[in-house]
Amino acid sequence: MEPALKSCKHKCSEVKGGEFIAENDRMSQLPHDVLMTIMSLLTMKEAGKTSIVSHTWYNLWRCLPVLFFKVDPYSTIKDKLLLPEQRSGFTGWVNSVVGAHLGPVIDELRVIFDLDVRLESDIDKWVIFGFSKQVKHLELDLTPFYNRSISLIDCYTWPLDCRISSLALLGNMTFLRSLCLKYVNVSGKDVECLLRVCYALEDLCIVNGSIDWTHINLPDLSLQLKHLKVLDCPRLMSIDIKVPKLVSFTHHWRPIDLHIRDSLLLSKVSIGNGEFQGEIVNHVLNSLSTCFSNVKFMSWDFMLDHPFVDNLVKVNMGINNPPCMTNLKHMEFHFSILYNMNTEFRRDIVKHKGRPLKSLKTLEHIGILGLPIDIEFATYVVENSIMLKDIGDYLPFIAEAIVRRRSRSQG
Amino acid sequence: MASTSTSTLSRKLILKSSDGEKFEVDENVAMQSQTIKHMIEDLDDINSPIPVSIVTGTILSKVIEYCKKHATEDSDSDEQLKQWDKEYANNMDLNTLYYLLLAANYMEIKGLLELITQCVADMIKGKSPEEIRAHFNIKNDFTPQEEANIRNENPWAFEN
Repeated sequence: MEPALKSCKHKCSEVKGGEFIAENDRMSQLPHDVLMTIMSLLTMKEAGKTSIVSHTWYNLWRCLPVLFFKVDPYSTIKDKLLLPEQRSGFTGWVNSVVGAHLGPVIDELRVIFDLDVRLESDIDKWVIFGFSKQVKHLELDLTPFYNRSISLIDCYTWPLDCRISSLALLGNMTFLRSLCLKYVNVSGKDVECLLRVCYALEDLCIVNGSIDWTHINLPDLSLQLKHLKVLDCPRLMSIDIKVPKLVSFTHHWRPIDLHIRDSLLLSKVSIGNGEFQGEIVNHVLNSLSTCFSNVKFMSWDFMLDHPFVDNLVKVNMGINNPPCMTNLKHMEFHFSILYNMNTEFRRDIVKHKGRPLKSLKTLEHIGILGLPIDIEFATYVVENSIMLKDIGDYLPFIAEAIVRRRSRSQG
Repeated sequence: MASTSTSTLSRKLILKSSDGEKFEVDENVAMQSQTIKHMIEDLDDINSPIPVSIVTGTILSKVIEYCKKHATEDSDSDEQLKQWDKEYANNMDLNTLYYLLLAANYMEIKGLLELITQCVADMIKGKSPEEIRAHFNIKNDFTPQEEANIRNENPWAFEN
């Protein structure tokens, strides 16, 4: 970071020219790095306000290393009908900041707003701007506001394959450390290209994107990835990657063909079904069983729709029988209900002979439905977890179950 | 370094400010400054005063106050320490903050630098450009036309 800022300072002092600094305006005389740190602690709006304070501050603003464009829809856009107008305002804002930027490099470029394919040429410019400035962290979160559903065809498409072709830019992509794309169409070819070109990429998050992303198939290339998160990519069929440094893996949606090779460091896994209603647990456990031995943190996220309720039993079976998760310390369940579900659960009881969860220490259950099956299940986990110490804000009867178990074992 | 588990009495160092004031401090207090840490590594005789050339005695005493508090952090909870930091920063006038920033930057004391930069950033937050100028005594060196142009370029920054 320092060398970058210093070269920026050079550039800015050129622009500054013969400005006059008031005698007791000490703040403007602080070292550039320190002023930049202060600027980085402000939101983009606050930093924008400093741009008309004086020439010094205007030039600082033009060198901001962190560009974070986000507008909270619920505070600013009261009326949905104003969205198109707000979009053009937002786009204009990003364009003007990007256009005025003088720093040779930026650390972060984050754009978080409801934008779609109609603004393709603007978003393309921002992506190219980011890469031309050797951006380290790039995020495009174009999630529609107000839970609007949007067809993938209307989503912005990542420009790599068809619209960015400059070799110089590809060279600059090697600086990328993290990439997060939400509601952005990416093809399998794009993702593979990113993984090949961005050697330093440690963190990849793709949410709800891809008309034609069906495979990542890079079994031979050893990647630097530490965190991989793939949520709600309905067309995805398989991931085959070699990731010796992978620490956390998240996948939500239908089961896919998973080959996470060489992942001896994998310690945190989060699995969910997204809107896919069907069995996911056994499949995941099978495909990940080889790298489960070091998993310490396991989280299951279930969005339940009525026809899926029967599958709860299977969920529980899978969890009761984790294949060799001998280091599991923390397990979490998140249940949420999709649409309007009739909550008449069948009372299927979990009494399978599972392996005891020998090392489990904490258990968290979020969105508990308070139904018999929850209780049975939780009791099962508690009774089979010798080391369990913390059950979060679990229901009191679980605490009772522990007491019962202890008194039984003592008596 | 010579810090063994048996020596509860840590070594003393003498820091000398730009105006010649000397401060005797425990080594672990001074070592929070990366700059001093590097200086000691190259030093043969640690009994000779270590010059902190751009920091005056008044400011250095405040820097040491911060470092002392943070050298013995295990006696306080994180919460108490945060409270202490807040009061420490709130008691400084603008001039002192400026010199503290210079000192923390020069001496490379990460925690102090973070604390004071945050404090200055908080002063900027919620203020209009005019109020920022007034607060920091910054002279507006734009012509009205220049100022209007920048406002037009970046209208979102000036909406509420």
